[in-house]
Amino acid sequence: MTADTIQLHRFTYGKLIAGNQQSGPIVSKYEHQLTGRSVGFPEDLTEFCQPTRFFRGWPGINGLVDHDWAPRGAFLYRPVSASGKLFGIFARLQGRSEGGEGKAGRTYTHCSGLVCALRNWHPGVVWRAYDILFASYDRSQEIDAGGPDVEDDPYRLNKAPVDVSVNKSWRTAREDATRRGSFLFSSGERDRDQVRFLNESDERTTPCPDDAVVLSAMLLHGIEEDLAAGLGAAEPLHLSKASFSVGLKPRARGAGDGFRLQYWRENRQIFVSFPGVLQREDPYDLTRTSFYDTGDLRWDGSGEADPPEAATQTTGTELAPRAASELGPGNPGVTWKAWKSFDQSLFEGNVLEGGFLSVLAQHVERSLDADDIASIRAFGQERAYRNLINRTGMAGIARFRDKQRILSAGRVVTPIGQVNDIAAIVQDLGKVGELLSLRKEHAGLVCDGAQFAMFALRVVNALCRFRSAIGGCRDLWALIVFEAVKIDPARGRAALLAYAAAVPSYMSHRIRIAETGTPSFGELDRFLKDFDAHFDAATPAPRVLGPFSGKMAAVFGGTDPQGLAAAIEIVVRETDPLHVERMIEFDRANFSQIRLRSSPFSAPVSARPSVKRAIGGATRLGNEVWRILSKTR
Amino acid sequence: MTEDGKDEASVDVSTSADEVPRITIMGPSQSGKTLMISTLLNFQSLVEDVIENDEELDRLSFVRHEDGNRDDFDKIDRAFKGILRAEQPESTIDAYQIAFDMLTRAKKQQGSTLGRLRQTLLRRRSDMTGYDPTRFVLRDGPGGALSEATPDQEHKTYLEWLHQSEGIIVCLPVQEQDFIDEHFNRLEHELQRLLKTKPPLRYIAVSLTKFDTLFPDVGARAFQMATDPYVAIERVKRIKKGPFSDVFSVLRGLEGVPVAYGDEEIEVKLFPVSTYGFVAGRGSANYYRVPAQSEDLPEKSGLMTRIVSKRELDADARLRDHYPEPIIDAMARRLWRPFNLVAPFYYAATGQAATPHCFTLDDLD
Repeated sequence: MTADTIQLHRFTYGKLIAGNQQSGPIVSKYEHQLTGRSVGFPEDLTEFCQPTRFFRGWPGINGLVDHDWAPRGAFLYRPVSASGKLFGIFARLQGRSEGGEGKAGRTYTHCSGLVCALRNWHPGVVWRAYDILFASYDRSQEIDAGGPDVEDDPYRLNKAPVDVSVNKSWRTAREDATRRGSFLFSSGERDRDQVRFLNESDERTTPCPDDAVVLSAMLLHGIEEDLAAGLGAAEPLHLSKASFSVGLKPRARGAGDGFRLQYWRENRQIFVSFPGVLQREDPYDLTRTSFYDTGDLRWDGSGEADPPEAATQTTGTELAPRAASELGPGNPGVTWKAWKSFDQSLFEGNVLEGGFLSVLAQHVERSLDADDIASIRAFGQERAYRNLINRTGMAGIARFRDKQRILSAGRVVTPIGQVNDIAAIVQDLGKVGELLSLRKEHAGLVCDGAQFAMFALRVVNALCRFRSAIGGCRDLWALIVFEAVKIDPARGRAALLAYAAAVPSYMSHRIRIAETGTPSFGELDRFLKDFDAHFDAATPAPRVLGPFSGKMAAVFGGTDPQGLAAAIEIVVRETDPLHVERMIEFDRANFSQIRLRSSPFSAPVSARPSVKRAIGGATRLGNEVWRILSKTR
Repeated sequence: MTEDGKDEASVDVSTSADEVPRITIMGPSQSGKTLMISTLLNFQSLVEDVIENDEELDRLSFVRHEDGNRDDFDKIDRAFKGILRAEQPESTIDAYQIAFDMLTRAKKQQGSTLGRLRQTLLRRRSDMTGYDPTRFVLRDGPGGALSEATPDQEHKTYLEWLHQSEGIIVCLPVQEQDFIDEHFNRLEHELQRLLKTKPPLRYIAVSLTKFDTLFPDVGARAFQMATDPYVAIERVKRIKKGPFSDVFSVLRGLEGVPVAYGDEEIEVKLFPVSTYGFVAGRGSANYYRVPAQSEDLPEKSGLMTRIVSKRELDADARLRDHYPEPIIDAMARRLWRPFNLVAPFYYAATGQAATPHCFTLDDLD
């Protein structure tokens, strides 16, 4: 592996801290200015080190940085042209109290930055700069590399420049970057005690690596676009294109500040503005910004009609670039060209390549025998299989609707609740991927039944927390079951059972297989049939519990009542009680109104006898679970 | 660099120079300059409270001129709302300018029907509209913008603006802890430089900000004392003998200097000002301070007539001593009475003292 050393100059703009503790108050009446810089700092850049120079119309640090989301400051990159030379400025922008850390006082703007000369530009620098500027606060040494300068530091105006080592290979650098799932959004960088996503429950403090993957992929995707267009790393155009910000608030209409990519949070959603070629003039117009509303993703059987925007945009219609803004919020605001480009790269697996999501996909792929692949191909489902692999990405998980809107969900805007749940799913899937990859080496030692059931229930739990993801995960889940059954039929059946009992979309899947005659996975279809037949015929299911409970009993503990109770306890413990309530709700009067909007059928599902039977079984299980749950409470 | 906001600002300066008078507001850090402006823009209904019921100056309101920069407006507007919610204000990082329309509404809008009719008949036709806008452009910046420690474009632009201003508002906070301040030296230095450049300067409004802090322990009598000219002058005289004396002597030097154009002389007036003001209907200084009790319970201070939510009261027992009941937004605004806020602005723009609460330098001798 070859590595290059790149020198970054440092600067700090803000107010000087009195004494020698970074957490202390500022020097009295000190005004914003350059408080520190490295030896040899380019003089031409001095005036550009003020954060107000990064923006058109400085809205104030409180109006700019989303402190809730980014308590340690926003991270941004801005190319600067000074005296004919191009530089890239990485900056950490933060509002701090003049009275000291945690103390009352006016807020002032702190900006610590690193400057990279054009000739040194490299994608790896992005992450290294972030590492340095947001290095963990070392309380023992009282030094925060990206923090303010202190009065007692005699070398603050003559600091040593930072030498960072980056891998020479762009490809490797890209993979490194994508693998860094902790970037920005992980728990390590957020103050977990104080900052929480709005939909985050108490126990759900898992990081959201998907954000990082998407962000890094997008950034690097933009860079690669340039490379693909024949622009090398040394091209000035590249630097000027790569500006981005993370953790800023959205700007008012028309108050664009030239960032090519902006990542921000508003209400329950994460927005990413990716203006594209034709939107430089107004990158923060919300109507031009891709937008995905959680409400649109509902798959809750409420019977509401599809949102109107879904009807206004037909799949495959090539939009004129400027027409995008006329569609209003809810529609992808980036140009159709950009969508297409992303779509293509998604299908080719480029965007998420190197990320652990695709690592999972690779694991799955590797775990399949040549015969498996051949059989899949034999069913003419190669493309579906490829899609499935790609769908292991966040974009794909939500991809159960029309192409444009799914792309907007996955790539550009992700409702924050979905991110949380999917993060959990993905974590579990990652484990599955590892397990699958180990299958051949450690056959039979993959995991025990309880472990797998736990895993299955956790995934189901996560799915049920955000039910709109169910549709998208259906095939993915099916694949997991499919693979799991190959490893251990009984345990795989446990997973399937949990899935079938918990997720009504299983029914729609079965319906689709049965009625359309075009199954996504022929083998899976056969497996499902065999599975049903096997249990229906061979298992002496206790009638009092209904067929589903009987299956559960068979899997977990035979017909032994104690084993069943233990199994149900697992269900209760691992399943969201809310979900159990939902299951019970299915049995009530509203059921006839439920429409499975993600199914290819528009008729009420209750019209289908198979669904009735299946839901009835699930409901009985749910009732049983609920009964036990009520007792334990 | 065209993307740079400062360059755009300087363009605005040149285009607006010939049309409307320029005013610079200056003063040391934390003297309340930005908050004065933001409060001024948010209290259209209250500015007349301190204006003498003079026939010509009955009601006065300041509104942002539509050509102004929306971002700047939003920024200072946020400062006002932050204070109202007891959030920490933000230190001004760069200079900005804002265009005001001062709207004076004739007395005919008030009083009895007969009185309004009589006034309408007696007034000029131009007054029939009820509003007589006067425009000026105000430039505000950080206290250190005058400092040569930051020799950048910002500093130069600010100085250039200062030297082209027809009116200056000098903010001097009257809090004792601010008496000794190196920034006064800079202020003095700049004012002395100003003398040499034959500026178009005509009016200097010395805004003695945070005036309410001179009456911290007198309870409901605070407003009464602040508006008593004898008491107020005595208090200001006491300040004048302190480190303010240098600034006052410079001001004395400026007063009477012939203006660059015309036969008039530079005039100086002092205005006691309090942005926080006094609580309406009660008269006490509109400021509270809860001392720190531990690291978890830091000092709390701010506007007494701020918004207080029930949740906040439940969470902090100390607040309940000051706010027995929650205060909603409308109530907080109704009780917040800035004191003499509009007068220095109006004086700097027009040379008219729209308030009885002002002094000349001679009054302080």
